[in-house]
Amino acid sequence: METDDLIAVLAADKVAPKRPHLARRVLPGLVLSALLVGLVWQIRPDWAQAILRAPVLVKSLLPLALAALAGALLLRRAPDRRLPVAPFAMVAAMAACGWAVAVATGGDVMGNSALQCLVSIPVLALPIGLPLVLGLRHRVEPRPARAGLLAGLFAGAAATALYALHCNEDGAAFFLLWYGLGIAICGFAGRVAGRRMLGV
Amino acid sequence: MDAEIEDLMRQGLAGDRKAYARGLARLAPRMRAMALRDLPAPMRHMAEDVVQEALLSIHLKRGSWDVSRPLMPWVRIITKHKAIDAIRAGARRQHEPIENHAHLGAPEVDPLESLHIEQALARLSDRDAALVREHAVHGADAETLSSRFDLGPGALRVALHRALRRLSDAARKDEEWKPTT
Repeated sequence: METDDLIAVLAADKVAPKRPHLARRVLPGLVLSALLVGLVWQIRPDWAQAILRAPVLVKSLLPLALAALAGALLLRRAPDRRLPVAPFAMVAAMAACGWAVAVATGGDVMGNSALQCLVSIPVLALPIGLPLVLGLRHRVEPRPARAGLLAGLFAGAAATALYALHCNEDGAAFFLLWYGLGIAICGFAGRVAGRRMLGV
Repeated sequence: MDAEIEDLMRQGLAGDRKAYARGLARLAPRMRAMALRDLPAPMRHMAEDVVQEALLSIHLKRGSWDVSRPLMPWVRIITKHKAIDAIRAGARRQHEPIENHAHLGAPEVDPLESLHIEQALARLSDRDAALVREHAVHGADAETLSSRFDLGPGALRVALHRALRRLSDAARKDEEWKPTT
């Protein structure tokens, strides 16, 4: 096919251009996951007192900071958008060190809800991550796997921050491991989705 | 002039299809020059493939171009990555020449072919391919096409758009394609 013919076809396509609208697509998902935590998982009754203690503050604010970082990176505009993973690797390394110290000082690794945590985080991340990846499909992503990874990390971290409202396991030996694994699962799922669905 | 192309594309995004076609037509030679610069000398014959795939991508993702920012850097990224894809696909082909597998009965490959979109078209359903070809050859006479494909105007519009999406996907998933005859 000649290039001029192709241009004629493209100009004949009357379907309006699709805009990524990432924030607008993700917001309903965030609200849905928040509602799910409030109504199905339920917020821990002692949340108002617990949040004043340092470990609880960390387990709530750390995922929030991760989500903010991933979100800010994804929202930057082409063509000067870079998607670095080094900050996330650094947070993971610091969390791993913190976890090792917590375990060495006799923290309870397994807790009572490790499995529930590992299942809940990806489930709550799905309503956030799916619309995000669908929006990214309309954008030019020279590094599809990495864009997917960051989308997964954003969804996983946001879901974890919400899940922390419910979870009453406050030991660093517990939450650094299981929250971290939950976010990592989401990141990996996002990476797989990105490779398949995103691109230039 | 970049500013002129940008204006045409802005009008195109606002719904002016004639301006859009003119903008793409002006963009094509610029992209050809980019592709020729990006491709190594033995692969220059693939420049037109790169241009066509990049045009498809620009069309399908034009909603993500921020009209308040310059167009060319955005076009540059798309063209560059289509060139990189072409180089990768070429490298794969060189590593595994089909002639080494005569027993597969693959057709002879013309080393000078630059028919990537044509190959991708061949992998679409008959109706999708015909839709694209009709629009390419006869332009968009909606009424004739509506009766020819037995589709209402709305359905025709959606069918063409989906066909273009599938064409773009088919062109991108080149590596999964194996000749069957």
